Amino acid sequence: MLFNSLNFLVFFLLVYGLYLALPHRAQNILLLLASYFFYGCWDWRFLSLIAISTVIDYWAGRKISSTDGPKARKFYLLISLFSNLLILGFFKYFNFFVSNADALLHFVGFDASAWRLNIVLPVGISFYTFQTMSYTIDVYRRELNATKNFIDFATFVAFFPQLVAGPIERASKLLPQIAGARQVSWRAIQTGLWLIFWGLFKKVVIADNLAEMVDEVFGWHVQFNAGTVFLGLYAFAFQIYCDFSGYSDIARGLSRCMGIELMVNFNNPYFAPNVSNFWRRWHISLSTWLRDYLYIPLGGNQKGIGRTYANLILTMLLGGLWHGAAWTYVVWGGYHGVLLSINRLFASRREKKLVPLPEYGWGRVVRVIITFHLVLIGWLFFRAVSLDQAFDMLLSAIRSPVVDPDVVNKAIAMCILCMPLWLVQILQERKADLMAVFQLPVFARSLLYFTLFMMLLVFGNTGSHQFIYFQF
Amino acid sequence: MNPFRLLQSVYPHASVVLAVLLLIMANMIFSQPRIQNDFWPLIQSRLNPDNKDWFMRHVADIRRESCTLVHPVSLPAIAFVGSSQVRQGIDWNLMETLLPDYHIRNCAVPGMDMLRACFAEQLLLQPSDRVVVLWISELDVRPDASLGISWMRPFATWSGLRHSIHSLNTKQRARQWRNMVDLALASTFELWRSRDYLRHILFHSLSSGSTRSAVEQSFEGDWRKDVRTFDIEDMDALTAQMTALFLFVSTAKANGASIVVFEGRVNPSICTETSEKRRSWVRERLLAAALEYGFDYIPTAQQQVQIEPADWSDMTHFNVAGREKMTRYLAQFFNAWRGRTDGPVNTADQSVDFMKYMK
Repeated sequence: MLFNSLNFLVFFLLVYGLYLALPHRAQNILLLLASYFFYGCWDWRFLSLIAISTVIDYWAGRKISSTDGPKARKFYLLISLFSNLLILGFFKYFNFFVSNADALLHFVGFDASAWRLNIVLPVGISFYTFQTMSYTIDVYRRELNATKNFIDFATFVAFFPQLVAGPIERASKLLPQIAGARQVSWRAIQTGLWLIFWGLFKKVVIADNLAEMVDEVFGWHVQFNAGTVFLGLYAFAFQIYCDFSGYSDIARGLSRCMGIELMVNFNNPYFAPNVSNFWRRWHISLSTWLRDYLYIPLGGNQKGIGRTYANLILTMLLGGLWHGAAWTYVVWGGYHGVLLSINRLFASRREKKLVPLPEYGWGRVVRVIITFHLVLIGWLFFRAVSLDQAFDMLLSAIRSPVVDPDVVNKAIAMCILCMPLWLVQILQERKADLMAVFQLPVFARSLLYFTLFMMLLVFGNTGSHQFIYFQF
Repeated sequence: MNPFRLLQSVYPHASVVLAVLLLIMANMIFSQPRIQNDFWPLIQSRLNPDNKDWFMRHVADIRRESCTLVHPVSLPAIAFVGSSQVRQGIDWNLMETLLPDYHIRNCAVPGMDMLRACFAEQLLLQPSDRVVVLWISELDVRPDASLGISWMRPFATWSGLRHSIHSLNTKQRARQWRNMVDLALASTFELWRSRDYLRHILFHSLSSGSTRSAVEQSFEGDWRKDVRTFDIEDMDALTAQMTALFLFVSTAKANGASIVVFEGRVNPSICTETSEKRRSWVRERLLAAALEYGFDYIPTAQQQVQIEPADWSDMTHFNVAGREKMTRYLAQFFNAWRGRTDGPVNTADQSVDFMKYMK
């Protein structure tokens, strides 16, 4: 059941109507049942994985909390981590490791291809396993008290607006909101509806229309040349952003309408003036998760320059692997790790020489454009079917500087579709407020709503494309 | 005081209301015949020159004609309704030469079946139609009662939607509620009805594309499904198709037109036992309905034209020779018919119980 489907509209209206009518404890039971139904619509068999993860982490959390001995606490933490990583590793990475091991063993005359299994990847598995792992780790670190209420915990794990594609919420933020009584203010509903509307616009008008261009290029349906490669890349950059941030916006909007505040997952990432800043604006829930549970435990920047760079690269490599079991994701992660390291190197040199970079005006614009294009190269590896295709496209763009009329048509369409996005984001950046739309005068806001309504009505893609991040 | 600020203070959600009003206004402007007259040629100029965008081209032709009566109104019109079998089965220039006293209207759209014809009736039929000609083979009464959005959306009207829904049984309606919502929206908002075409302009702002449009691509699955389900007998779907046909006939008669239904021909090489069964099923019901309902039904046995195996270009369409034979036969038929249509048109019995023909 996709957010951009009529089925979901009916589902949400029914759930929301009931939700508003019920008292707090009953609301949580309703949310849990609705979340399991929502997930079961994809494949009810995988509900068992969520249930297993929930039961183990609830039990581990309680045990860690009630035990004082450091060894016992670590033991229960390891049970939680091991079970989550086992589920994730088996469903997501088993075939990847087997096929790579097979390729290696092939050199010495062994055949391990029979080990490959026909495994279906459960939707959203990376999101909810990371979310539950953060709970037990926080309890272990004594940053959070283990919850005693199983329904609350199960609702935290399976909360349907963010179950399949995040944001990866922290228990310390979401659990108290589930456990405590909630107030739904008119202002929350108003801003929640805007987030839903804006997210739908990004998904249905921009992402799904650009998806057709992207699929054409990366599906080898066109001859690679500079025009098609750049069209594919620019289109993918906005497709993935609008697809994922659109989902996050809708998730936040739905939750806000129910009185639950989810974290901001995207903060205009393409306006970042450097790669480090980009990662503070892109998929914030994952990058902060990796920072808190991987980069800092590895030593962060506290163990010397060399170790800092190694930690950065290792964290980003694993971040890349989190997205999918393929070398393209590993290369993408590694590429960002290297960019972050270079950025850190230059930043520390500038600090020593006391040469600040321009934060406003054209200097900043140039830095934003350069950062965007560095990120764009990364997207090539992220989206390519294989590393061969990525390099083939790069070489074709250089060797064949041709632009077809079809590409010009599509580039114009892309600009028209993205125009409202750019205007709203410029406004958000200037006002440093993601809700800056509400600061607009009434006529300007009417024109904006009208444009968005109109584009949704006319250009909205009704093909019900899946969200890209569901596969992760 | 700034009027917008005043509005905001009086009504805090003025911006949403104003946006909705602007949207309604934009829809009204876009629906105006003058805008529509300019819009459809704009589409036609952006279609693939090598006929890859065949469906969009036909829709643009019909939509354009429906907003501009381009033919001389004084001439009585003969509207030919059907699928690509009709569109490619008639030499339209020859037909116009052979029937100079009629305005010949080509209302055939590839992929049309009875449910779709019934749905599109408001845009296909015009008050000047003296005769409405239907061409019905077993392929036009498909064992499929789905409301195909890509095909139907540009023809959406409330009466067409009402008739289509009326043709379906409860189970079929429940299964297709999402399509019905879409088509209801299309019947209400011209912007939604023409959205596939507005999108086409968006993606072809400078020129026609070399690739097929998204609308055309959406039919690929349809044809495959057709071939796949050709032998499947779904009585519910066949019943829906026949009910839709009778509703279409009813509307045409209410407009004052006479109806002539020709039994369509299919290349004998694709006929199977099931298709023959369906052919006789359709024929029996049409013969019975024609007698009671007052329309002419001409089965293939009564059609005075010899179609040879060499007259087919493929499984379902005539080649040039077959097309000429059929056109000459039809022209001859309507020249003979002329005397009859000069008399009063039979508009009796609009309240026929269609279901009795389905038993």
